[in-house]
Amino acid sequence: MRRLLKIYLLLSSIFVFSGCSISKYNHHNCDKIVLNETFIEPVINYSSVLKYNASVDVLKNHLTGLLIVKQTDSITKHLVFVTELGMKMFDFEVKNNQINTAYIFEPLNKPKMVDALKRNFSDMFMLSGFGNNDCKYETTNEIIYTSKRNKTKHCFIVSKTAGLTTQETFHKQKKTTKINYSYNAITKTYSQIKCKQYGLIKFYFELNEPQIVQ
Amino acid sequence: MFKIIIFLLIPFISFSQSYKTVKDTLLLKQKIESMSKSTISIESDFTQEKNLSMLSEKIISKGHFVFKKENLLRWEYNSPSKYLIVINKEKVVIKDEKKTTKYDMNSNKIFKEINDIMLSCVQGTIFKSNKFKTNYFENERYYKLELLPQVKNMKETFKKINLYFDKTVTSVTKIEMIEGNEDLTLLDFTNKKINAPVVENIFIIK
Repeated sequence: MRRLLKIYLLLSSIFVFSGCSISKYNHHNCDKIVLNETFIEPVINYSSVLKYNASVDVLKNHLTGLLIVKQTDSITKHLVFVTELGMKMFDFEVKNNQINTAYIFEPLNKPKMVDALKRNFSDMFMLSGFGNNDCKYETTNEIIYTSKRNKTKHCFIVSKTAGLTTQETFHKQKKTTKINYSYNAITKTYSQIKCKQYGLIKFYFELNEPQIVQ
Repeated sequence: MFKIIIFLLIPFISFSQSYKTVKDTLLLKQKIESMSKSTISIESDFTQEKNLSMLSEKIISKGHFVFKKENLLRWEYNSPSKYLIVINKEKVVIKDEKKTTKYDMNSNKIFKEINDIMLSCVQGTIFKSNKFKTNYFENERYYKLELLPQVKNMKETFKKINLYFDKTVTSVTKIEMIEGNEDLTLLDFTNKKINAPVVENIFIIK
């Protein structure tokens, strides 16, 4: 009986917690907008190549190296991850808001792993565009944008002084990802991006100190 | 005058750089086999140059490695950042600037694949793997083993691996790993010490 009560309390607290985290973005008095890059500074600059020091924790693997992000033509971007040993782990091609695998190191080539890599990079770099049911509301220090597509809701917190600081993603009301951004107003790049995926398969990505190559 | 001298030297320069097929491949194989058997330890500095088709600049890293038979390898980058990979038989330890991670090679396919390539390249024994077809070339300075992947997984990772040995066949001098899209990783070894004493505690990371 005691054990049942414990389980009940645990489940109800999880329910309350997850309910709270999405509910903070459910504002009925928001302004309807069409979210685009004029509201949120994009991560990828169209005229340059970005090189990030990257670390990826996927399942039981901790991989570090360089993540190179390049716009190769007007509609194509590439995300390439190379380890310190010079071995390429993956090359994702982004075209028309779709991420395709150009190359993946064979031991990493598992459907769940590839899906999670694509989804998280897509979120981090805001690659898949925004939805058509977007919303904006303001607090004293922040502007919050929400964008919904199918059953996934992206919530962007933009500080009035520091730019985009956080993106939270919810799927069917459950928080799936939290991404923290640090924006450098001098270099006009995000100097740090940290992405944590919740759920059964845990992923953690950290991108630091980008170098811009013209 | 200088231009004329250069022009006259071009055929000789290009001749010395060009490779021809090795006639007696059996003898070369025996030499490599004997080198591999007699090598107990290798210590060397290395320069790694990564050429990516996406980038106009090369990514250059420098470091030092120590190998000791059997299956002990300490591969350490000193620039541009600190990164250490230690293989101690079935255990792999990776230490970057933030974290130390330990793996059991038998339970981690990613590092097993990477470590197999590293160890067999350093020892020069990769040509014996049935994952590659080997072509043998030579010029005045080097023997070049061109390794063409034969299995699907390896074909997806590499178009070919070139292994260079000095003409006395004492050790691997440089390694070129060429990927499908012509992206290239070049490893150049300098300040080599063959069979110098190596203390085993450098392969233990706590």
